[in-house]
Amino acid sequence: MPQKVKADQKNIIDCFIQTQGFYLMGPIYNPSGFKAPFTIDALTVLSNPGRAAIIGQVLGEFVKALDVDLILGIPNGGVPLATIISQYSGIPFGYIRTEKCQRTGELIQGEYAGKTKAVLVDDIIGRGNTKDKVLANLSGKLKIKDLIVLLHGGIGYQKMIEDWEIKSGVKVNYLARWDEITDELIKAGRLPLAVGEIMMEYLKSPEAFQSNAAYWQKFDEFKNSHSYQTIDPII
Amino acid sequence: MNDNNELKNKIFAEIAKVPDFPKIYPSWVSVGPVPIRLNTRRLYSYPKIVELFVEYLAPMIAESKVNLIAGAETAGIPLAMALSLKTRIPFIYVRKEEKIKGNVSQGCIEGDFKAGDKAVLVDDLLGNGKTKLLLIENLKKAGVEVKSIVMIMTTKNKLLAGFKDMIEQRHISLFKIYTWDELTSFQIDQGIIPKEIAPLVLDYMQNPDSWNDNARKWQSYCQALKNLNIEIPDFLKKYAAES
Repeated sequence: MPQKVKADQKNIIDCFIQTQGFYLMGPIYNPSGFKAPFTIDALTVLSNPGRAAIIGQVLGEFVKALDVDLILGIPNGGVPLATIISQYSGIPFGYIRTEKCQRTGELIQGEYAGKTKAVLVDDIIGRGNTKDKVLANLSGKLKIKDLIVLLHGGIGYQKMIEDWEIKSGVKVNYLARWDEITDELIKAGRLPLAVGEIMMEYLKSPEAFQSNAAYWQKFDEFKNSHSYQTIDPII
Repeated sequence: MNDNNELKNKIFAEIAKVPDFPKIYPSWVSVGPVPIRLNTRRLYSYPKIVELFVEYLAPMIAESKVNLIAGAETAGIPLAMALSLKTRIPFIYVRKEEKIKGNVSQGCIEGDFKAGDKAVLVDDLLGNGKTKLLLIENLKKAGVEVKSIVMIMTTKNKLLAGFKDMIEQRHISLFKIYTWDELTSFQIDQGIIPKEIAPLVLDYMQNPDSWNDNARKWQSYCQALKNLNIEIPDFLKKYAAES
């Protein structure tokens, strides 16, 4: 079962809801293969050094309690977060390519000689497709028991994430869920109501949303009444 | 800005503790075979070294008067993020190519920025400068002006002079912690690079291009490696047979 990292939740939620450029106009196909009406850019949260420091402190403490000797970021989204966690925990950092470097044949960038247990770090988890590639490439070189992400893809991904945990043997640890953040953004009046309503429906079940004509019509109405282009920030 | 030699020596002393750095074993990299390899990215695994890099570079960033720290995909991202934490200047990173999701371009920049921002571009090292020029252009397309470039190390490359001219014309400042020559001299003094290969390594540092397909130099190097009982990699075996 994916687990939320213990932290002052208000502080964490504030990091996300105060971030400019966090919610973006869609539609866009996310890495899980679903067409989403709107999307998010988790990295913008780390653009702000004050918020990056808050997240670094929380995850730095969290990772110290794990039995690991290497923090491995998944490029590109996981690399800044893995750097911060390393800086705050003092645990060595590296990053892992999804494909071997064609020139040097290297897979892991960083010092991994003598290291046996690593924690994987990425910005977000949906179905876990990218992580599958990374784990396949590692093929037992390092023992991976935990994954840390900024964001859980939302309640609609819960079952998929649970299934991925069972299949991979890797526990998912996250700071916040996409639907929780969306809900807080609506409550704070930061997200247009129509966007909030559409996204809460999408995040309940991205799969079912694909053929939900009523909600796609609402999306079209929103798009037609605003000047946003795809990937323009909404907040 | 004058070099902070005391801090640089501290950095070299920490790097000296890193095992197999440099790797004496010849490697094949983007420019072809190189006699020794400094994989600067390995240094990111040592939080103490990253801390010293940041301590060294932070004043240079302050001098650049920028409001963004842009990491170069991918090797510049860790250093840029660490510098952002130290200087409290916002962080972004810049890709070599646009990110395409479905049929939608998401541009080359990730993170919070706006047109008119001024950035320092951060990377691990400077080879021939081609990638830096591409990244500067990608930032420019998004309306972000690069005021300076900071990196851990610069190498000698015949194309670098041309790159420096282009950078000067654009009024972009270049800052680095050390040159490969400086680190190599330190490593020879400390016995980290064996004296048997030191003259050849120094020759390579000074004239890397003169090693291109230079059978005599590679034969001498292979002989020195044999004397040190270092295995000759396949791509140099033709020279080893003749040495």
